[in-house]
Amino acid sequence: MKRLAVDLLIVIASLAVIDVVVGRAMDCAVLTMPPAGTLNADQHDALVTAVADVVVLGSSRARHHYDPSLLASLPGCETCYNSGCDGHGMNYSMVALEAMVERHTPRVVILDVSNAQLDDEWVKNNAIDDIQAYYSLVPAVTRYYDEIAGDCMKRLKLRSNLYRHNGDITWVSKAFLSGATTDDHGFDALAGSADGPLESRAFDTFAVDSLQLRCLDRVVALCRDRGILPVIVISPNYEVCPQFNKWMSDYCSRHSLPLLDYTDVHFDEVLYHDASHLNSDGAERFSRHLANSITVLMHVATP
Amino acid sequence: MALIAVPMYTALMHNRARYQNVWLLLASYVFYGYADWRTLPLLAVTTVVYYALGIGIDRANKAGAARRASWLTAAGVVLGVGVLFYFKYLGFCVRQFAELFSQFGLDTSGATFAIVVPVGISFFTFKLISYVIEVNRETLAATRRLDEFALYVAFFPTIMSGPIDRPGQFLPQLKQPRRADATAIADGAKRVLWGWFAKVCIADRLMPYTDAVINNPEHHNGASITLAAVLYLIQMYADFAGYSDMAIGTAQMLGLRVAENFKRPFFARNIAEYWQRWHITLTTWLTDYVFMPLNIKFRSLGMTGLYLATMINLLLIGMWHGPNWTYALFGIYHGVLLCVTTALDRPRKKWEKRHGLRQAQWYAWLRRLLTFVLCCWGALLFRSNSIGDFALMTGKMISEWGPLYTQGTTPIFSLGLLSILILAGKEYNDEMNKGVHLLHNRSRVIRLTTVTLLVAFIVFTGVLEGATFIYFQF
Amino acid sequence: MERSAIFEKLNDIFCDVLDLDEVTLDEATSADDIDEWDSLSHIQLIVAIEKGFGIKFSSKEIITWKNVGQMVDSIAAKL
Repeated sequence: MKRLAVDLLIVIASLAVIDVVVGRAMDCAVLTMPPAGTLNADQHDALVTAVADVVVLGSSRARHHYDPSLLASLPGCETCYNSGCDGHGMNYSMVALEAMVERHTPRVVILDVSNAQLDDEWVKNNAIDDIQAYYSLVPAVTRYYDEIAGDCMKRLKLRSNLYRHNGDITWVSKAFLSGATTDDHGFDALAGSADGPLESRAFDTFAVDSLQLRCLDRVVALCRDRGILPVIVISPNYEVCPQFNKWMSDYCSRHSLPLLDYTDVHFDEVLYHDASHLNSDGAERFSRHLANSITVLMHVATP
Repeated sequence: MALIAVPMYTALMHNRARYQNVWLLLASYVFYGYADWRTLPLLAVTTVVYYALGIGIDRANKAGAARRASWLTAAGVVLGVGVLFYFKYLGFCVRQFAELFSQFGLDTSGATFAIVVPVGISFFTFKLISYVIEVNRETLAATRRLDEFALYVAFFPTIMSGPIDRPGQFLPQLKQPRRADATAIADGAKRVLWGWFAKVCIADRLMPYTDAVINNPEHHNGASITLAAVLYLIQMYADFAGYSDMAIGTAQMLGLRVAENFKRPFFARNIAEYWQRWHITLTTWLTDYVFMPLNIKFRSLGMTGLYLATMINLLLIGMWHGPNWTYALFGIYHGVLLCVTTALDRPRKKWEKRHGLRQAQWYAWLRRLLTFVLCCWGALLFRSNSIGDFALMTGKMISEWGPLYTQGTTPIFSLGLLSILILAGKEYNDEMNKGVHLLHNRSRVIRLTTVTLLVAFIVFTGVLEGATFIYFQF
Repeated sequence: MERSAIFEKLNDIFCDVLDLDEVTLDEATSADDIDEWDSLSHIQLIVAIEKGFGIKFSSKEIITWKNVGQMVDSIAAKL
């Protein structure tokens, strides 16, 4: 029996050592990842290196619709970074923005919103935990898990480096081994159009998730504090949720935020990749249009 | 659960068996209540009813009243099957009838018949039924201790998803007090660890791929579907065998021996051998209580009787998994394969002898491969959401090939593959008696290193958040 | 019929059904001892035994047999 207890202690001690060693190695690898253009590489860029005068936030729509090269030359701006990330909600947008603001205060933040980022039904499945690798490395991520996410068990588990870097070995290796270094500034243009006619899809309920709302509030507050112009945009797409549009409109008027709602702007079907995403041509058309609208907005805001 | 029960249990180690049993019984009921408190009364009531039946049958047999004993046994069997049928299949039957009626224009507008399937019901009803049958066959004396019987039925490591223990194997163990045994605890813990590895590093890792492909067959080609079928069989094995390992390991830590459920099924050389290695407790249960009795009843029909018994047996195995035509067809499919295997058994053996193939390694591996392929197709059927989907997928496997679906598959094809190779390596070693032992090596250093590395591997690469065990609602 | 005679006859039946040249049967022999004696051939054996001795067993009897000795007991009881 005593031997068993000793064995257990030896195992635990060894695990602790491995934990530290692996943690150091993975931290180093994660922080020095090259910009490989993949989702994880873009997350790395947003959280660790990117600086820009115009920052785009949002989920997959942000990532595929907003062309940084067309948005970089807004008044008083030179660079643009698109931190949109597939399958992520408002919490990721908040963390990405906070991380970037630590390095450089942008002039404009374009926040692409949709019901998927805020509805408690949808948001359940969001993949926020792929940023847990950056816990204790990026202050914004640490702050998120410690103060905002409200999950004590998670915080405890993140103390272990092995747990924190669970699954990371694949995308880290991929980024280093692929040798690719892209300079898309986080943007991912989708090629091709949909095969058949696009079906319009309507969602008839919308209930905002409290965590996501808190994150949205923080984004707005951060912009106010740092004198950043926040622009809320609802992308063109075939999936509509009228309650969401109404809710967003109310929210924006309550907080005096400019809202550009493209729901009723009908883009040609050929500009869509699928029912909820524009393709590269659509993104170009949309980004140009948006750049003009925001330029007008900025001239009105600062006469 | 084990984390709470084991230390407290150990504290009672030097006490009488009864205290240990009662403590485990309480823990088991708390465990089950936490999982599904609404069924707790059902569990308790059926336990008491069958306890009484057991005593009744015993008394009747001793008094020579064989007919009364038979009636009581039949009542027990009917009750168990009835309860199972009500919760699992009634809704399905009602819906099928409703559909049938609506074909004739009769609209049965009733509320959608949705009965919540109690967790683990297929497992504990089978334990109860086997109890009354064994008492009736006089291979087991009816227990006069309700606490022991209740513990047999509700034992928490096995109540959710098996293995299905026989009363004759389990009840006697409860009579002796269990003493704290360092080896048993260490071995049990290692078994639990291995089971966790299989589940979290293989089963949960493969699930997103198989789900994505098999749930959306219209969007995938034959190549992806074939891969999904193969991966699904491996996934199901890792999931179920992993869970069984965890259950058996936990019981081992508690000083109790639970029946084995898997014996490296992918090394089976034909379908008959496969079913002797897959979900062993279920197949032996059905063999002892359905197949053999049917066989004996049909013995005057010769081979036809055997085939009939086989088909019924396999159909039941299929349907046991749930109310779906895919499960029924799965059972029929394996039934046919088994009948063919049986019919060809003698000729095959003669042919092998004549061509000197009995000892040929390559021939054995060819047979294993063929068996595996047949089981993969069966697994695809098992997993299909409908027979229509299965037909579509099979069609695509034959005609429509192309590039593999590879969205988000890097972790699967790297980490998943690595884990599968580790599992395969261990199983190969065990099957062929290669004598390489890591977890149970004679050297303490190697043992501890292996455990440490395994834990680190699981935490570093396993799917730790999410995926639930597929067999829970069976 | 004497027990040894039953054993002899049983031996012939076993050889015939299991396709063996010879087999050793004693009181404790069970299916574990003979490779060819599986659940399949078990039924064929029973049918052959019933035919050979002109008797009929009950299901309960058949299920509870654990070895050849018990089989012989059942046979003897019916002769």
